[in-house]
Amino acid sequence: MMTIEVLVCRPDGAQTLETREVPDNWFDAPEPETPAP
Amino acid sequence: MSSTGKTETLGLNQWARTDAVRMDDFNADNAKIEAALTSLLPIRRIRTVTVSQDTLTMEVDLSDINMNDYSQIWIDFRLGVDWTAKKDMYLRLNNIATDSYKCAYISSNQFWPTTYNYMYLYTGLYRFSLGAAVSWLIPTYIPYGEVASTALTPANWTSITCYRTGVLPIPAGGTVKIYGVVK
Repeated sequence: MMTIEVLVCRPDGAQTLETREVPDNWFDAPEPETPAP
Repeated sequence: MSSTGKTETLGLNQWARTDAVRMDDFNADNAKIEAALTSLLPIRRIRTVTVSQDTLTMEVDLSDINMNDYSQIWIDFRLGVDWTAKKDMYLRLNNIATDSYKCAYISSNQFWPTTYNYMYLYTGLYRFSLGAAVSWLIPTYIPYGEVASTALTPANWTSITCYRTGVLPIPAGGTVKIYGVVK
């Protein structure tokens, strides 16, 4: 697990940086990168 | 009492010459008209978010929305992201890491300020059907989209997360607009 910062956008319009515990592969791409068309 | 009469259906103020005219009455009338017209719309915009600062990951809290009111949710992204790192952006529901949806892009900066000349606009209209489960609908005009099944139920859907696979952030100024198709 690792800790990341997330910009959380609340229903009242507030936006705050919060920390989240996520799996180590959180930022991995689930599919191969695709070139621009 | 500020107006002597009221309209029959909505109860809007109908003033006589001797009645006092107050701002609060106009505001109350406009609120009734807004609510009445909104109830007739088949599609409602239920959230608009403008990204306030650069971020690798953003999460939109949808916990206040009763998903059972809608048959579909449409999510319209207008997020300018630097494509030079050749990294994609992805969408997740409820932070479920095993279900990710690739955000499409168009290779144009026509909708983005000139200061972001070398940026591509990640955009797309993502549609989710709300039945027994939340189901992805094949996008109609975006270049492509990746799909994974989800067992998420509409009543339990409380957030959308966008994240980058690279080190460059989603820049401030982008928008996410969320619409609901009323049942």
